[in-house]
Amino acid sequence: MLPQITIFGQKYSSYNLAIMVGIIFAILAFYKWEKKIPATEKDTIISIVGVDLVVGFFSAFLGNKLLHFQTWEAFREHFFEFTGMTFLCGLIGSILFFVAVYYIVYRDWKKLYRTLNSITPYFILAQIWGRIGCFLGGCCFGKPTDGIFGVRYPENSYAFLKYGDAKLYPAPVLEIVWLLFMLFCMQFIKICRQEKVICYFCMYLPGRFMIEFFRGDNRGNILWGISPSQRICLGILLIMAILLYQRKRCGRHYI
Amino acid sequence: MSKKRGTSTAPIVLGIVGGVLDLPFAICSGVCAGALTNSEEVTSTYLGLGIVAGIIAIVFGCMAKKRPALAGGMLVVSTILSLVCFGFSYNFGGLIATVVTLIGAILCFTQKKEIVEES
Repeated sequence: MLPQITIFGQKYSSYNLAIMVGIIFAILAFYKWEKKIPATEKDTIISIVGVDLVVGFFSAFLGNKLLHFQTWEAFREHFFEFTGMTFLCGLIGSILFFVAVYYIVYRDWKKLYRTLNSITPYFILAQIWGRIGCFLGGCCFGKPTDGIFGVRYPENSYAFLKYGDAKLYPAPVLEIVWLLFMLFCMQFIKICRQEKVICYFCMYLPGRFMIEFFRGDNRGNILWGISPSQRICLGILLIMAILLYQRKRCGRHYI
Repeated sequence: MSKKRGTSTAPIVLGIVGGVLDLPFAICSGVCAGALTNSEEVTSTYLGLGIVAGIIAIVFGCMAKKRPALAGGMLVVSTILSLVCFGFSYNFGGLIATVVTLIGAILCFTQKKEIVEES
């Protein structure tokens, strides 16, 4: 764990830096490596993504408040305070915004689906960097374990305050491994390569659902033994199932 | 006389979005930095840095097609200013603005250029 990095005598949060590096790397990789999309369309996509970043992070910030503060008074009291972000809320916000703006610009569902398929691997790259930031920052951590993969967090960390010197599951690392496995599938398995968006949702959400059981940080309001993030995973999976059923019924090649 | 012009609209959009985002977060960053150090001078320095970074990003973002090299260079300057400003106060929103501006700057340099003949 390395919560702060000193550059030219000034301390920076390693979480923020990792996210910055991830976003820049993913966008530039898309710009340079993606061959299926013409250059003019790439410009439009990157412009939309630039605004979408703001929408996504704002949704993640707002989602975290909605999930953690149940009453209006608490929500209002903590609104301007940074209490963390919820990735899944950011994902929903940014996808809805991207789909809406892209459709307004091109008015073509097929093209939109192809574009989403193209940007998915780059999105995963950015997400991996984000999780590296989580691990370095020590904001996300697992439950105590005696296993060989358990990690100890330093004294001033949130994990230490909650669990003391105990070894904890490295929850962000589990997610990184799962995301790398997804990237591997998208590269080498034909059906995953052709349907990257579907592959992303059908693999990431169940994986995230399972990883949530290992997480030891504040997960929000637990209901029927499952956390808000797990409920969101189930909700998105349900929507995906409906969309896939519709797609099969109509014989389309896109959602 | 021939001139090199940019062909991409992405640096324009990203420069403007980054610059516009810089402005409100500059206020936030100035207040946070001032509170951390308990000094009015620090508040005004960080506020000033953020606002200058925002204005540079907006103005030179608009010039990304006409003068791509100059715009790219100035967007890099804006990025450095905002990184100093927002990095100190751990301002996450400001860092998003920094990322957006930096991507705009990189695209300014890497975009395809066309040569335009001017009379």
